[in-house]
Amino acid sequence: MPMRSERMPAASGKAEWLSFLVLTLIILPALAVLFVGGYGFVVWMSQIINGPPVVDF
Amino acid sequence: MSAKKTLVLFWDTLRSPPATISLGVLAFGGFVTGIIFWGGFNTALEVTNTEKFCISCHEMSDNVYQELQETVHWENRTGVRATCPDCHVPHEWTNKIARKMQASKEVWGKVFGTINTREKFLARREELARHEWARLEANNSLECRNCHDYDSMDWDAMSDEAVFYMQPAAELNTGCIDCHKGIAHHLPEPSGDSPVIAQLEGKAARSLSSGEDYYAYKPVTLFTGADRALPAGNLSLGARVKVLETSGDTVKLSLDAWRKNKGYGRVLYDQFGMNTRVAVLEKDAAGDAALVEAGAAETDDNTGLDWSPVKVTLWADAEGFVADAGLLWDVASESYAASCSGCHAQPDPDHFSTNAWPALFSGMVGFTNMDASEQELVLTYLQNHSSDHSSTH
Repeated sequence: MPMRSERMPAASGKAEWLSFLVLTLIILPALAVLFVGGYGFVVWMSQIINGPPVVDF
Repeated sequence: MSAKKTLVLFWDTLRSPPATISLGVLAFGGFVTGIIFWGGFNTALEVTNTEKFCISCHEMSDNVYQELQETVHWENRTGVRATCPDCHVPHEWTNKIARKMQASKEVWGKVFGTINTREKFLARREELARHEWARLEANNSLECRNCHDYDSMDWDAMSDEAVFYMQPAAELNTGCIDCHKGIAHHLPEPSGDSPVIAQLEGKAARSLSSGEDYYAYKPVTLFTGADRALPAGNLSLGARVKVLETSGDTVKLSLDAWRKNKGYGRVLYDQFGMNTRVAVLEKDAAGDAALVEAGAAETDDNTGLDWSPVKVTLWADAEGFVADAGLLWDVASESYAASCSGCHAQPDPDHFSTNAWPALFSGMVGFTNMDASEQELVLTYLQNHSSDHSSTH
């Protein structure tokens, strides 16, 4: 991909480490929590509409 | 560096193969942070699933937690005890996460002090209790059954009385909460508003039109005049009336009914020979020929009693009526099924006659949690759908 190498000839070690740490320590954990929380929220809303979960024994 | 430039540099760095960090370091770093995240997530989930966390709000520690300490779920001969989340947080992952999100509503309540005094808590206790009952009824008391199991019950170790109730429940696989409400916390004080009546409140007729038939969905006080000064009696739940005139919130209505020509004729019934009560009048009103117009008497051969048709004209508050009796019967049949099927297969309403139902019903109703209004509505439903009103029996 020549376009990219033109725009950014060589990433510095500092920028790479910073990006790595921001991604793994902040962005991805936040996304994971959001995703699980969003899933829980959707289930909650469906319970409001359909009533509490039914379990048969 | 501007924010936009930083973002572009960040994005470009993420899109390019690493130039200075080795693949091993990246994989190892990702692996380790993943473990730390997963552990942290679970720890947070567990910390918020402890009793200590639950009672960190005074709303819980001052009210329900104190009540728990009086019960067998707190202290008993086996030394096993239930903590808040054992009963109140689903153990299965999806429902647990949903419950955790639901707790955002509790955070809201904490911040805005929804139940921050004893009075506020007591005022909402019934609503809160009903949420938990509905949840446990839907999942067939799953959280109870995480510990308790019909199959593990030793009938010989139980008292005869316990076996008498528990064994049929085991055969029907009845959910624990159906009978054991109020086992770990106090029951809500009866608020005076019957939940069954409250259910019908939203379906009440907004305005009544002259010439139409309506049905009382709650006890309605009758008056002798449009000024509503002198009470003349009460309409029973399910009583059918014809609206003659309306003025403001007062309505003039007529009631076609029957009475037994005995005593003062205060009790009015739906049909000849049928003990389905529709109204009870004050003594003076019952004897007032201007209000109660009686027709020629007929004799009921079964009982030898004389019955007269009566046309009653009285006044009432325009509130308390529904336009369609079906609304009443839907609520009543649901309540009948829910309350009675807990112990036995409930008979079809048309299995018994109108006059047989009152005695049968009053013999059984003590085993249920029905309040007075609910009892009246359900009995009226049964009488109106008895074998006398059905073609199948």
